[in-house]
Amino acid sequence: MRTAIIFASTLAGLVALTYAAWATLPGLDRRVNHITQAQRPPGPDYYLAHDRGGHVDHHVLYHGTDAEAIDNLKQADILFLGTSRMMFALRSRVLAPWAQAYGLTYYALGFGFRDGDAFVLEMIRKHDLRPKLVVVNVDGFFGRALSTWAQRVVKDSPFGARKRFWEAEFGHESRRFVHRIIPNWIDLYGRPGFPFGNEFIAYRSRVDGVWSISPWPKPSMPAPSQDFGVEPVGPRIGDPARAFKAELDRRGSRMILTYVPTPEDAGGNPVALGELLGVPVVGMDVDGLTSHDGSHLSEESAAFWSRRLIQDLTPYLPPPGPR
Amino acid sequence: MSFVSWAFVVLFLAVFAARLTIGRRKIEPAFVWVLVVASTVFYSWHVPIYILILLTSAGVDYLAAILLGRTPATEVSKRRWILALSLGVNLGLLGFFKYANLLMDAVARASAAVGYPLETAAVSVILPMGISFYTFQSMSYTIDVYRGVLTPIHSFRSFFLYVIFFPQLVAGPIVRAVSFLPQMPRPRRLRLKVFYEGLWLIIVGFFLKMVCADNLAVYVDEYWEMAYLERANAAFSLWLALMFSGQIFADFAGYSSIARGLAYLLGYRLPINFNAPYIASSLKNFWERWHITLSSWLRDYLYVSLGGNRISRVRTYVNLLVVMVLGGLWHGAAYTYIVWGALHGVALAVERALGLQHNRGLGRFGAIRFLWFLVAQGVVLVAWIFFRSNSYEHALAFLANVAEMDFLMPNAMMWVGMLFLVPLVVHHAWAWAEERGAVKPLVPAMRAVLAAVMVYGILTLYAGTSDFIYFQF
Repeated sequence: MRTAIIFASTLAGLVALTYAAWATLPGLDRRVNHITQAQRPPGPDYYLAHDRGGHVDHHVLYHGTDAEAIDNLKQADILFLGTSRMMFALRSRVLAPWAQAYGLTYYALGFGFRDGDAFVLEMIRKHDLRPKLVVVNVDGFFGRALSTWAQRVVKDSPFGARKRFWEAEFGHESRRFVHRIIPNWIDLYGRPGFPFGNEFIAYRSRVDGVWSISPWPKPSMPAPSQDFGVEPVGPRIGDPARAFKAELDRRGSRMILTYVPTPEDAGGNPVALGELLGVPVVGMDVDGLTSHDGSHLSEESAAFWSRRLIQDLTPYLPPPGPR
Repeated sequence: MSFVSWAFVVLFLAVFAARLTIGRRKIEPAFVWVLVVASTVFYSWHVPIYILILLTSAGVDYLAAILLGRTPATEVSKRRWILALSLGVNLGLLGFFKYANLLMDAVARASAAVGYPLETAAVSVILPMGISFYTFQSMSYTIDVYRGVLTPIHSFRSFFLYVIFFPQLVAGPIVRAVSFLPQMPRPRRLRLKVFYEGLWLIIVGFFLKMVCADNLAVYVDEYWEMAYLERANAAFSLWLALMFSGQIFADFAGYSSIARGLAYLLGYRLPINFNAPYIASSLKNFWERWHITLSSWLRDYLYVSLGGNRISRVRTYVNLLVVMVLGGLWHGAAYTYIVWGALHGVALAVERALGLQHNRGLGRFGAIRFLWFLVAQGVVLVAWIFFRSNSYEHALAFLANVAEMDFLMPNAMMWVGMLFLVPLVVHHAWAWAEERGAVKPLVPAMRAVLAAVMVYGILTLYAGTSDFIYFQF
């Protein structure tokens, strides 16, 4: 019993010491609050998309475990597609009033783990999606094989998908509880010299599929340059892009391209790709954007980019009403 | 099901509640059933249908052992056939699931090369969790019965529990029937001392996994492939190799420690699987400290069967090489694993040829002993590079960068990353000192303080949870 008392009192002492430091040190207080306050969904329409251990929104949307989210996805007039960079860039507060004004509905169907056309095509076919308009962020989207995570998702059963979601949700809730008392020091200070090490939490809206990032780190660097020269579009990108467009044509959906700045190979010049496919390109040449990790847009820049996107996209909007 | 999951916490709490109520003497049939059912749920959590594979493996070995028990020792040929059938089924299952993808790929390539491309299955085969472990465990039972070391057990429930016992099911330790089955009829009550010991092992295991291995994995996973690039800095590449050697130790030793702790709480003792391997003074000593239950399995059932060191000097070296290459292949169908095993095999043979395997008789030649320690650990580190790399060519590119020797000062990220190696260094240093009598084992009070610090570390320093590395084997 003595051993148990020593164990409990040491642990309690360490926790109390941390809590006291949190309560008394102003700097630490602000930082901890930033982490703990942010770790909550923005509203009842949101579900957990990503915490540690994977992007569970892959499972939710592929296996259709959230009926409301799937209904909204199926009814969307406009689909926005892309990788995590697109998901960071799309902001509901900009998109929602715009779409409402034109009597249209939209859904952001992008995914983390760098999943592109292969996984989205699986989704489109599985749920038989037939939107009027599809806006694709060309940043590494075409010619992407299923990520290892997506392969797992596709192989999982609906029961497996629910298991993963419950596990993620339960883990997330327990972390929220624990970190109201003691912080995770790595989340608090990041990993020095390790730009991609900071964990973030994403909730996904059931209504429009947009991610809510929490906590969204402060911008610390300019967004990547958008200078891609006159690089031609090779068959590596061109062929799958054509195949993707053909699938959309069969479904009666119009395709439009856009571009969110990326530090990686975007797969050729978006304008050249647009010409190759015979589709418009919107949301290009947005200057003054910032990022927190050199890859994803900061919160302010994301809203700024979304505004530019809808401004360019408006002339191409389909009429409201049934398809 | 992973130990680092809430589903497992719920499952274990239910089993432990049964231990405290209906299983106080451990041998109560109701508690044994609880263990069987919980282990089945644990295994089926991954791919439910794969429980049938485990049942097949266990069923065949159970029946083979019964038949062997009924067949007189004089009927050598019949006994051999029974054993061959059992081994054939187990190795067939293992081979199919481990190497089917490679085989399909090879068939597709070969047929395309001769101008008649064959369609191969588009869906790859999902490896049943822990198949490498439980087939070896199950086979050891049949071999022991064949050798007359064990008498066959007649209760299938007990035998099934031996195979499926959830703490060690997925990634070991590989438990021998000869050490597990005799524990079954012992009514081991849960005492406070045993409870503390089990809890200590569990806390150590979770600390190794969640704080050390998972944080090291963040760096290794992000940067490993950069070390393949031409002219990647030698210090950076070497740092990655060190980080991975720490990660794989913390990950695997962490799992084993949790498994032993859980088993303790349920009334069973599992063998030690790791004993500070990075202080090993020789390659032989390394394998006496790393994945001990696999290396002893390979020694007793493969090396000895091949003749061990009883035939000739050259044959001994060949046997060492064969056993280690097969040990590499046990991990999976990849050239990198074969090279990993071959490196260890060759190094073990060289060590034996030089007479350095025991470190005895070197007496005053402390420098030679230390030099061989460095060589042995260097071989282990190089072998890890092959183990972790995507391909043989990538591993060579990695090594070429290290061989450039253009060492730059480590940057802040590298120093911070190395902080997660510190607990492992302390662990090894303590083990080294303890083996030499320089320090005494920790008293319970110190252990309690250390356990509390580790729990605090788990709560405040955990990284993103990843699967245990050995789950894929």
